[in-house]
Amino acid sequence: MNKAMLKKELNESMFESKGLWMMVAVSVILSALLIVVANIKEGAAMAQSDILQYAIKAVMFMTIMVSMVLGGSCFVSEREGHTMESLLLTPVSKFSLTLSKYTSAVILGAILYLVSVPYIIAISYGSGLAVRALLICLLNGGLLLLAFSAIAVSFSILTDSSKTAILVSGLLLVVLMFPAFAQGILKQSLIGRTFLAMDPLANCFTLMTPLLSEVASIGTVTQYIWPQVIFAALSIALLVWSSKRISLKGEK
Amino acid sequence: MKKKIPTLLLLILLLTVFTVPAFAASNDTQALDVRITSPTAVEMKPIYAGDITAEVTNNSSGTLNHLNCFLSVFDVDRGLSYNVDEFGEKAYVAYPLSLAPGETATVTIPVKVNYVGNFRFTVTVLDLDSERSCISQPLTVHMLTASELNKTVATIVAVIMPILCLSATLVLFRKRKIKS
Repeated sequence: MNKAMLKKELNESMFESKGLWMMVAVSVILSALLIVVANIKEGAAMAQSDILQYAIKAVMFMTIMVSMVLGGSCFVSEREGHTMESLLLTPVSKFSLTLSKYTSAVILGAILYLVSVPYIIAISYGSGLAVRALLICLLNGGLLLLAFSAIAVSFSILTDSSKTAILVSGLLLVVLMFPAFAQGILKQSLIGRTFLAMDPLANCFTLMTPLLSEVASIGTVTQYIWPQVIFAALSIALLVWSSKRISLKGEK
Repeated sequence: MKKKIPTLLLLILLLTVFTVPAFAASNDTQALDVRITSPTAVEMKPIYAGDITAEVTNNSSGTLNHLNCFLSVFDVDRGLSYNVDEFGEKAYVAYPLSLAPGETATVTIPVKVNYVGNFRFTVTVLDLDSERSCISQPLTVHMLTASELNKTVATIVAVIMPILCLSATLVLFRKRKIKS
């Protein structure tokens, strides 16, 4: 990976793509949620482990969304700003270029996860669940961040418009998130069970209950981690494949 | 006057003849009885995992072939009822029963309660042949929170973090401006 390219991409993500302001926005949203949960009756009635689960889901959703927006616009913005040609003329390989843009989106996501650390510690204060909650947030959230950022960057390479890239990536996130909220008959049906077993987001949400509410050992939840690892590997494979297809107009 | 007394007696007779079936029908609901035998109450933190045992008795003179027994959950504090599949992996399962006259059957429903709150669990028996149901006495399930969210720490973090993030952002933008 080209260091100068990565620095340029990081600068663009932080300053020009408003990555830093997104960090402030995420912090304000998390603060508002924390104040509401700490002060309303329903929030006080929930167990700390339940509040932690909701907080981790919120952190993951916001972080992945921000990274996807940045990743989904990275190549398209170069085309729209007519700087793609000069980028392709540099001695940097297409793969190295893709990796730099992907890494900058992931780094910004990682910064957002770090911003959420004090919130997770504050919510889990006194419960002894802080380490588990942080592990879920950083490891499982990290896997999902790697996967969804890779998908967004891939779509940015393969499409002509940043709107399309962001919309398709966002839709994929929503579609994968849907089975996690399935209830009752849908959850128990064959299709529901199959989706729930394969869906990386549903598995990430499912492992929170044994780890945080039942305080089960980490070894008992490995079956929920594999779908996330496989999903991340497939997404990165898609990114590597699409990096060969970088062109001035976008691959159709 | 002499005519009125027989008319009144006739009216009373007619009223009795037509109301007896109605009373008899309402009395048939007692043909089925269900009661939760164990536990008698639950007060636990942070998780309750156990079996709810209910006894179903056929008090009628005939066999009841198509009975179904299932759990219901009511949240007293929030005024809500819930999907029982959230209260244990097999809490949603309905148990089919067939009872001879006077026979009693025991149904065991495994539950696992992760939530904090004040709940009432009931067991309902539904007779599909007569389309009647019978509900047990409510079982009080009071789930206490293991530890409360520390409001002071939460509020401090909620106030400080946006200020820190905003300050860091402004400093970084200022540095960039000076550099350029």
